[in-house]
Amino acid sequence: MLICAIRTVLIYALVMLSVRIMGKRQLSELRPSELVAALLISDLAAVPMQETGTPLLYGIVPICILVALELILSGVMLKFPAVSRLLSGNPVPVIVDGKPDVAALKKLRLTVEDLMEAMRMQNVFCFDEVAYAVVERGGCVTLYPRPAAKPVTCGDVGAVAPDTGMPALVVSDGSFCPWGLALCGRSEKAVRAFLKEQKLAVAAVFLMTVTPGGDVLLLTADGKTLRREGAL
Amino acid sequence: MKRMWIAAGLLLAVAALCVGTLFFQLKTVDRLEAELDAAAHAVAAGEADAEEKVASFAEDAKSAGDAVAFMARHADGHPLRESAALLPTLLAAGDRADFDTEVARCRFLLSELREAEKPLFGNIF
Repeated sequence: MLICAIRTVLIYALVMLSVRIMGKRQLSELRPSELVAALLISDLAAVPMQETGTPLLYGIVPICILVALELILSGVMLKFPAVSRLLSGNPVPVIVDGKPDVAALKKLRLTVEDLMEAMRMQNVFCFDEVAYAVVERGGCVTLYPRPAAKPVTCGDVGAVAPDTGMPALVVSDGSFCPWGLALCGRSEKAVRAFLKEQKLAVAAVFLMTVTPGGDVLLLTADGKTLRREGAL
Repeated sequence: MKRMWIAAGLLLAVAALCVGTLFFQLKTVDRLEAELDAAAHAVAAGEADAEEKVASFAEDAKSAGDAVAFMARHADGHPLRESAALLPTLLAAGDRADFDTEVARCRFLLSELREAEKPLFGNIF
């Protein structure tokens, strides 16, 4: 039983490392090759976990090979788009200019109910609101609404919205986020100085975002909220 | 590009591991076969150190089985260890017929172990 437990931990670590090496593509919408790799890896990982009579290498070696093949294949598909089209197919429009393409739906074996479900998942409940719908290579449906159904933007009403830039998460649950600091162009030293001015320790900060323009939103662990414009 | 290098490195490491384990297993089987032949010959010739050779083979078969368990199914090595463990007892009991039978069985199991991991058509499919 102990052997089983140790193997489970080792295989779990290996699968985590494999998914990490394969990258973010593996975690988002899966293309056929990625889905195959994910299914096989999960199956391969389960066998040596339970079968203590099987060497651990019988799980590790196939998983490593699958990861390597998936990386090589994704590199080849990047370099040769024809290979990508062959293995993953093309996006298929199923609604064009508000009209459903029945032939495309039949080819994809999608029913009207499937299409309506995909629309509802994106908060579109009326068929008339959709100008274009495309079934992507990973199988999900993306929608392009009709102009009348689009939310109104500042550009539509001729207003000029202030551009403060994207708020970047710089402190998360008491720890600095290096990628957020790089995104908003601020240093850890500057953030620490700001927090010192507010008489706050980094550990007391639950969430802190900073925009490139220096606008700060801070939530402390004990529930206080602080907003400062141009403070950093 | 970095991931391509990782992929190439992984494939190379796996290839080296597969070839290395295959050679290790074949070498181990060769060594055990030689030991078994020497032990069986010593028993047939009535040599003084026959018992010692048989016991040494049984011990080596056990430790080789432990090493091979890293790279082959445990069920593949277990019959050999079981059979080899019987040899000293059968020899001490003076049961030559059973001893010779177990020796033949050990030889067969060793040949099976030799063929089991080779990338042959029958093994792959």
